[in-house]
Amino acid sequence: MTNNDIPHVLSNWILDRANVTDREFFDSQTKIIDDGLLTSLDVVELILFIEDLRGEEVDIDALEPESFANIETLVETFFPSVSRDSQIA
Amino acid sequence: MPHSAAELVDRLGAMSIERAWDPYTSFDWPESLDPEAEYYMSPELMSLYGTEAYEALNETDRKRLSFYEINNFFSFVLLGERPVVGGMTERMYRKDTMGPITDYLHHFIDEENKHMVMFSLFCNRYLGRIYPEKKLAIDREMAPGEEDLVFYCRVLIVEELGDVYNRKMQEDSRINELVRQINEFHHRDEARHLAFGRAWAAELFERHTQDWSPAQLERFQDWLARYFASSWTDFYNPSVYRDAGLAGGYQLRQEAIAHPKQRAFRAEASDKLVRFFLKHGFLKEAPAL
Repeated sequence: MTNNDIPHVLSNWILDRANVTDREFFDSQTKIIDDGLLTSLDVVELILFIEDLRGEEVDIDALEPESFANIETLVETFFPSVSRDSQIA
Repeated sequence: MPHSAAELVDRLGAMSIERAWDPYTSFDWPESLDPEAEYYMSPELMSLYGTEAYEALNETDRKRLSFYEINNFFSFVLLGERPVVGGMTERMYRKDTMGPITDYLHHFIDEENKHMVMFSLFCNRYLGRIYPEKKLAIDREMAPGEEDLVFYCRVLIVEELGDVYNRKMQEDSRINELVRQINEFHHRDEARHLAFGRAWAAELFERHTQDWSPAQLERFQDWLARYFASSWTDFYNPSVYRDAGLAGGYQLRQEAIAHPKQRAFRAEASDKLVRFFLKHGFLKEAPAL
């Protein structure tokens, strides 16, 4: 997996978790929490998945709920080296 | 014979005074512990127990894993008790808790703080840190009184699940003696906290939900079922597996959570609390754990 795969990998994880089959609507701006795809309980799982992708722990005290707004904010927060204009396939 | 919370608290408070203890002086705290010297958690309670990964470990590996598992258990109970202390403090001296309930909350908070000190002494001295929790608070709309019910349900879950482990480990002569004693002291206090928590939560549930719409009740029940299941996943910590020298911590976690033996254990360990929630209407059906 390369860095450019990260947005796609995150999108798939979120859509699988939310049991979404129709994925056409989803892009890097889709609201993950506000649109009800994930709850705060799912975020716990997402953080552990992100830690596995990063290979290091996340400092939870440094996080704000806004980091989980959409794929773009997730990538910016947790994978800053990934190109911001990565497209989601 | 069930008692109301008001009937219980005088007796519980008297027991708190009679059985008062001090986390600094009630135990002999050794300078250090050898993770591979003995078991620190009952093998049957370890999060990988029964899985193929556990079967592949030798005795020394299992003892080392048990050291990190007990630190994880103490860490998330400590961090779970932190909001309990905060929430109880906010709720004392309110109109609905003034009098005997608040008198007992002083004991409750005092004992919870002692537990936090006890777990902190252990984890910081022998592990060198507290395993952090990965929870992020996200506000949601709540029905009148729901915030109180959410709070007391969280208290019951952290204390009831923790007490299942305390009761088993306090009698387990195979494990480290300090760990056994910590579980024993914790159980003594938690038995009273649970008696109060169950009685008080049931009263609040009846009081608050009578004005809720069916949709509000269903939303709460759905949240509780998901929260209950989510609470169990605290036991399966990839950092623990990594610290114990096991590769692929996240994958080990997913496999252990899904393993039939672990599912059966969680269902059995949760049975008492699930029956309480079902009896009083907190849950409409047993959650998938």
